[in-house]
Amino acid sequence: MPAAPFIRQAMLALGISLILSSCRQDDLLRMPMYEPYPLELPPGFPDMPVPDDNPLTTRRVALGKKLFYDPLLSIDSTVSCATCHLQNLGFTDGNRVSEGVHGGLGFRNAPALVNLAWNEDYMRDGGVPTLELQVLAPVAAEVEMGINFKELVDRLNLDPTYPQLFREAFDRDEVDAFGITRALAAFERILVSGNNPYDQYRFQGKTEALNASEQRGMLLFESNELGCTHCHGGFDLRKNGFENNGLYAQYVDSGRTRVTLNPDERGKFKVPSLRNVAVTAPYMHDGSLTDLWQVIDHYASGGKGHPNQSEFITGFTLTTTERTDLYNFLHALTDQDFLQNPAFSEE
Amino acid sequence: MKYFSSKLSIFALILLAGFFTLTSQGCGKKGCMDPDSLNYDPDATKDDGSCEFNPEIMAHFHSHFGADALTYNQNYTLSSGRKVNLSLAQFYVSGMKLTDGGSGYSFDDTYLLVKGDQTVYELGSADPGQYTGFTFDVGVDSAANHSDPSTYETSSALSPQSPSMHWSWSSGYIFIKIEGMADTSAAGNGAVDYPFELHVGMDAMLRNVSLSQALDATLNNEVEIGMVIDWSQFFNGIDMTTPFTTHTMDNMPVAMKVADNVSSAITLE
Ligand code: HEC
Ligand code: HEC
Repeated sequence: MPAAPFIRQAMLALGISLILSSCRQDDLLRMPMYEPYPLELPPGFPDMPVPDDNPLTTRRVALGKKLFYDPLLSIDSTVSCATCHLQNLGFTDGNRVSEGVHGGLGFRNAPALVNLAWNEDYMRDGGVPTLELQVLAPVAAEVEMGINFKELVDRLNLDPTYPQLFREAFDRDEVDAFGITRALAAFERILVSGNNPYDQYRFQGKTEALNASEQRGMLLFESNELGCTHCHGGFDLRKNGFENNGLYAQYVDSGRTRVTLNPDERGKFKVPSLRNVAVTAPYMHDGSLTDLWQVIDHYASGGKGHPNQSEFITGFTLTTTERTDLYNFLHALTDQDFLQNPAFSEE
Repeated sequence: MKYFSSKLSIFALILLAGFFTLTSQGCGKKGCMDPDSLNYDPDATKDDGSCEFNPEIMAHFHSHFGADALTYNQNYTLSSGRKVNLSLAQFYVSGMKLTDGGSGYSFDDTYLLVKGDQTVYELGSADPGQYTGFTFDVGVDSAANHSDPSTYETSSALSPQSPSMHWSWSSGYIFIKIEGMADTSAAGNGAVDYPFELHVGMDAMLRNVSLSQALDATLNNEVEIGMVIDWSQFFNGIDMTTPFTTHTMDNMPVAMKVADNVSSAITLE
């Protein structure tokens, strides 16, 4: 009886186990499940913080995108994330406050989804610490998607395509809460915008990217007198943290106080990035300001003087030309590549 | 044909190897053959019934409403004479510990979701000992309270539940959730028509319960801790002639009352 075939098999088995045990990081990355999503950060951006349990892989991002555009995530299958976060509007919805399932109205204006990876807090009151945890909020909210998360998991497990996609993207047997939250967060992290005319002017040496009026507006925006960059400064035109920008003398929405119960934080809201601000109207947490003229006039007035109002909201006077220059500059924050990038669009 | 013979040769080899392992151990060694036991003997070939296991601890929470056993959606009368019924009644339990003079035994990372329509809960095994009491917190300790529900196994009480026991907008668990209908008329005329929700959470709402009872936890035994939850106690001190619903942040005084009523609601059987 020839022993050769057995030896050949044994060698093969040994070989495979050697390969498996010597599997280093680079080998892992070459496996389809862990293939990194090819992401190029714009000039001037710091490294992207990514949590250890959610590496940006091509498969997670693709699955997250499918989920983002799927109304199956709402109780009556009518509302998807994209209902309130539309790409051509910088992932806002153009409404004062958003409308969810059964026509239910929320109480806040849908914020832009842009460069979220660098945010330290989510939601206008910062009640949610990670992008993964944020996913639980719209799904459960009665005025948004209104479905119990456990029931959503069961629903996706019965779907003809999702279980396979989850198995391919995660080292898990079925659709679960971990996979749903990780995939959506991965997709949201790639929503990077960094190529508006101001970026081109500041970081790419393209001096012609801003016209004369926009350049004058930029100098006003960056001036100490207007003080905008105290809050809307840095590479993302925002700082992490919460501020009261003097919108009201009395706030119906307590803002940060809602989660901290600290009265000194009443009327403080997350500082939004001003990227793509020309397409994200209406403005502020409640969508109460309808256009950028109203926003400029609000800041020029010096605010309503709430006790928690920031010391940087002091008011200023602009000539008609200056007012137009600032308005034009805010329009130069629109990144057409971002608004039209097919990588972010529904397939 | 060649393939077949190679399969055969492997089979023969395994048989041979198996034979050697068996014979080299000697025949008929007696002992405990259960690998989950404390005294598992890997060499034993004959189980002699000597296996020892740590005591298993069970908590029994008997749900009552006043003097009666609790049934969802059935009207009860509070001691104030006011009628109320419950459609859902549940709370989290964390930080469970069997106490003795010393360090006791802690059920680390064990969380229960105690429900008005379920009595028996397995806490797992504990070190054997003469314990003098059982203590736990109603609610979720602050480290776990701010963790991500989607990172837990589906079997964990901290994974997403239906109905939900998590506030996604503030990323914290709902410690106590009691829902139902109540009579809120000034005179208490018996019309049970106000749907109420008592949703209590936030770190500051964690409440400790300490019960003294001799618990003899010996090897191979199951120890049962019998408790009663009188859900009617949760309404103590709440003015029920006003809409008394609370989601904690929007009605702190009522939330605080519910949390403070934990100690009178949970007693030994
Ligand atoms: C019915 C409209 C609606 C739907 C549907 C919706 N959102 Fe939102 N989204 C909002 C509103 C309104 C807010 C602000 C909520 C707040 O601050 O309390 C928000 C906030 C967010 C934020 C926080 C942004 C920031 O800057 O802090 C993220 C991220 C987000 N949504 C992602 C999603 C995802 C993912 C989905 C789908 C699972 C989704 N949204 C579905 C309306 C919606
Ligand atoms: C003290 C910090 C602070 C300063 C200074 C400040 N802002 Fe704001 N800004 C905020 C906060 C906070 C919000 C969000 C308020 C809300 O949600 O109600 C905001 C919102 C905005 C918005 C609306 C964005 C949106 O998508 O809704 C615009 C536009 C804006 N600011 C422009 C400016 C300009 C222009 C200046 C300078 C004239 C300026 N801000 C100065 C803190 C500041």
